[in-house]
Amino acid sequence: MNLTLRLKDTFGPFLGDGAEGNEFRCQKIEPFWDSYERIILDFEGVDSMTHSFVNAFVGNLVEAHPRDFREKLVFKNCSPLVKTFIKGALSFAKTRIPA
Amino acid sequence: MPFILPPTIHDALVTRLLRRLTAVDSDEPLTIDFSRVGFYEPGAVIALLTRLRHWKEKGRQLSATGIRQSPSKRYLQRIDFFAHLGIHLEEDFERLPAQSRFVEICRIKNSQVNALASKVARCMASQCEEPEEIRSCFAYILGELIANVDQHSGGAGFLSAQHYPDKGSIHVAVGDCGVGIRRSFEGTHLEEQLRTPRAALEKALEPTVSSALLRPPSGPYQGRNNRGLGLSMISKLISETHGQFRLFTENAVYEQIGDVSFKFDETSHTHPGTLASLSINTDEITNFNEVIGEISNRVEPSELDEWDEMFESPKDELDSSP
Repeated sequence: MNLTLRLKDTFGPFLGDGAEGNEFRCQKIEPFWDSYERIILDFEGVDSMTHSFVNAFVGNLVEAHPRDFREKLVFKNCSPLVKTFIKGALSFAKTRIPA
Repeated sequence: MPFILPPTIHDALVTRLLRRLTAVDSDEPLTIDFSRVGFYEPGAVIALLTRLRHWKEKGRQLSATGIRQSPSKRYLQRIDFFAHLGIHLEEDFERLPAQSRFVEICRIKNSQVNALASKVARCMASQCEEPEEIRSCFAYILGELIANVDQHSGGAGFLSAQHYPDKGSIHVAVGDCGVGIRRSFEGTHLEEQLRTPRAALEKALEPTVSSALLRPPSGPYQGRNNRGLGLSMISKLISETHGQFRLFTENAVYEQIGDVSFKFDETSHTHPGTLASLSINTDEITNFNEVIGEISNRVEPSELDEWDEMFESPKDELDSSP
């Protein structure tokens, strides 16, 4: 069973606020992390974002789940720009995971 | 003796205005003479507005004179400058749409980063040759600057933006009279090290440094809201696009023109809080994705391909629950 979350439905086409990204993670993802096989983050309709948002959202998820984030998270319908931001956040978060 | 505002303040010379404002900084009643005010770019508009609001909030008695004689009375009315000061004047003109040349001054309040950055960026970009690229670029910049206001002043600040099609540039300014950058480091392990506004300003411009990052997470949601990349990425973006960026906090100034930057202490002026003013040449933004990719990789070099397996195209759809 998978959980799909459409980011645009909550935030609109621009994801700018790190505090909101962190809150969304805590409310909509963390409680269900172990209940679903995969968590699909659907970025359809999302044009752009800030580093504040993507690091607070994706970065915190990676740091909270260093062992299984690769298997659990799926990023769907990402534009090239959104993909760039997410990949940057994944790389940045990886450096903060204790070896 | 009224305080006479100068006729023209370009963003490059905002320090002149800050110097004059600092010279009359006291608790004494003050009359501000607008009669000569002609052309003010967004950095000057926000510097003046935030200072006057700051004085008013401290209880300083302020009065205005010469507004009718000001060559830019209608413009200042149209962008709601006087309304934000509580000065309500009858308008002797029809409020026509801004036609993407400017936005009314926006008061930044908590939790409106997404909507406000998106709205202003959309307006500024709509008449540009590469509207999608410009919109993404400005939404990014505004999102990061508004988030900074939230961090340094509890979310109370102002934003102004103006498109100058003849010059091919868009100017934006975001300012507040909050605690400023130095005090935002109070209570962190860097507090002792960052005793001056300039030291704090320099630190804030380093990638992955943020006062928010240095504090233990607090509040109902554990985790960091900020990774301290915003200002350093904006600076790199300005460098890539040959723009201009100025950041003022207390008496410290950061000034960047293209990839040349200066940091210095001003002895004759201060800005209580933080003021950021920047301009970008619209024809320099043709591929925002490429610019962001390049500067992200410079901040944290990595093999980005290693993450490809986590991305899925629509046709690979998995079963999903609502």
